[in-house]
Amino acid sequence: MKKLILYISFLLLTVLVFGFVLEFTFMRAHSSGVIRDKVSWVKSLPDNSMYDYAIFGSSRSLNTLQPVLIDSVLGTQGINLAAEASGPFEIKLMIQEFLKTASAKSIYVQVDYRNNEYPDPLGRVVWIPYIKEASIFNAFSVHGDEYVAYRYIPFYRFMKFGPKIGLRNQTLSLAGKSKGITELKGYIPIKEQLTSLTEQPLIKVNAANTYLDAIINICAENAIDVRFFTAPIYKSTFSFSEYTEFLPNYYDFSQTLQQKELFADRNHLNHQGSIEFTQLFISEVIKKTP
Amino acid sequence: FLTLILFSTLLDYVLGLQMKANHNSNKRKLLLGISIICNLGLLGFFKYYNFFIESFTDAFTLFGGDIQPNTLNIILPVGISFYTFQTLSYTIDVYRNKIQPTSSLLNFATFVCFFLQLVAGPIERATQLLPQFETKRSFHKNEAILGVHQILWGLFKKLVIADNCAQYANDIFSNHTEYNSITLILGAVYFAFQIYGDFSGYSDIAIGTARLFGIRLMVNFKFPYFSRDIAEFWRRWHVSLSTWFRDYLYIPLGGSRGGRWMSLRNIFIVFIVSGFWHGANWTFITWGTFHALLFLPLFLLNKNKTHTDNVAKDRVLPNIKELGQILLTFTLVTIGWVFFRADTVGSAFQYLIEIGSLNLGVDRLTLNRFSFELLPLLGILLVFEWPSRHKEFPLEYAKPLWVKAPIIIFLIILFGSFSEINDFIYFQF
Repeated sequence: MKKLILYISFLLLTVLVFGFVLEFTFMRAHSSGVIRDKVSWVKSLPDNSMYDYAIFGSSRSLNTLQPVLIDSVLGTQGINLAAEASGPFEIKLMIQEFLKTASAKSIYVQVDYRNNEYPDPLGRVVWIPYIKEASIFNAFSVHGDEYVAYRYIPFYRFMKFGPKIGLRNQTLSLAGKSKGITELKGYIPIKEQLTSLTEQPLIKVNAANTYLDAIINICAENAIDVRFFTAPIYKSTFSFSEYTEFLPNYYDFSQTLQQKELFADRNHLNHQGSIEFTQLFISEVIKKTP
Repeated sequence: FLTLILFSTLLDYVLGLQMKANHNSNKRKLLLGISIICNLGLLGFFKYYNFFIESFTDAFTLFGGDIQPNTLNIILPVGISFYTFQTLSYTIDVYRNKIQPTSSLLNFATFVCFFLQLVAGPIERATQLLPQFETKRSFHKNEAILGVHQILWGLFKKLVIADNCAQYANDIFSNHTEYNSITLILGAVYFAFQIYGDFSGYSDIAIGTARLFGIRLMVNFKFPYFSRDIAEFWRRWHVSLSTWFRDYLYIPLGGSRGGRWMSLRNIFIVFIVSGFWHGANWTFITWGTFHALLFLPLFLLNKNKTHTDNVAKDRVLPNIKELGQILLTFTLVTIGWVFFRADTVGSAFQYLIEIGSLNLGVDRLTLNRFSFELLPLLGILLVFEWPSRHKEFPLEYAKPLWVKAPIIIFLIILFGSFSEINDFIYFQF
């Protein structure tokens, strides 16, 4: 029995050793300088970077607003830091991390039907590699004990979120394969066109959100002009009227650009749609920003 | 549902003792009949009631009738297919005087619901398992270490092979109309390895854990994808079920004793019932029939017992002929898995027709991966399994002991799929 316990202890020790070795290797690969997501881009921004504006939100602004087009029209310097499946929690975190090394005169935040007060199951994944950083851990840890495990058990988070940040992703990082995130200043185009629609019920979006309040406070503390907007939705069944009451400088574009050929799906504009919307955004929002 | 297993346990315990007490053959036959009817009745009601009602309704509708069936909204009791067969084997063996009925209800109940193999096998025989509960066990270090290794190997097959293959196979089978032939072939191959890794992985974990308790369960898988023909495949795949059907269905039906036509009938019955055992769906029946058709030529040519040893015995690699036989058998088995995996028989045929359309190209799957990306993992499995084909599992008597197990641990940590909780496939049966 003693020998068996000794042997099992040895095997458990190997689990721990492999955990530490892989944790070290994966983090090295993740920090290799290859930008494969918006968080690693924010982390790699040079100190004291200054932008005229920065765009935050989910895929509905990631695939929607084109800084290259805005800058060519207005001669500005902007960045789109919207990330897939981000809700107010992730957006607030992104703004917080952005302002650690950079600044912007204006910040445009896309708000939506996704108005949760907790981390999004998908949107949080790009943050998980950085969970050991105190500011990020503190943000997540109030939402569950699982984040303690991700922080303290070596390599556990890379196992748990393997499909997104696991071996494949780190191998591509080491191979220098970026996802082209920075090429268009953070905008990612979609080529597809909307083909079919599914029925959706009418939903009134509840606007009160502590993370949106926090964004307003952060911007006020840093003397940054913040504006909120909702991107177009094809045949929207959402009511965003509450945002008008809760948010300063809120623009509701959800009912605009209702041509089917401008959409990739109900909630996302395609590349042509994004050109149209960016031009609309320039005239309706950016040019009206003091 | 606990009452069901309690009922089965008490019924067969009492019937076993009654059979011992009665020497009148008619009465013993009656007691056996009660056991068979009650156990199969429970299985039939809970697992097949809706299937029969719906199939009857479909057939009735086909001839212009219109009836409103009363289907039941019930979930399948956990492990019912497994413990029903296990208790049945007990009463049949007692009837055949192959085993003395146990007088200990505790031992018998432990035999019926031994937690390790209750939900997904191996389907144990009373002749093998019951005596182990009735004798005092002692701890053996080597056996326990073997158990630990077998658990590790089972985890490797489940987490690294089955659960990774599941993601790809699910994607490809769900969107098969959008993919080209190569991807569809890979989808079928991935499912073949998913079901192998999942089910044999579970068996290894169960057998390994039992070893820690000093209990030996029967071997359930013997590297089935190295089989050289379908007959050999069935001697190596889900051994506890195939031998159950051989001993308690095929042989009682007359086996191969009643002439060629009788033998053919018995073979078809066994394969179709085996398919039906897996689930109340025509896909499983078609899968069973397909295997019966594959087995038939071997039986007719009297070649169904040609390959009873390990392939490439005393050699490192197989010869060209053996390799061809292995690839052909795997291809046929994989075609069968398409029926097993598909939602309907029609969609299985559609899947196979789409493969046959020979649309070539490389697809990027909906899950944002290329379809071929998983092949290296299957290569790792084969690298471990091929040299170990004469063993029960690759880590059995691994030398050096302190190296192979850590390698498996490393592979599990690095390649294992931990993002989603995937139930074992055979839990649903």
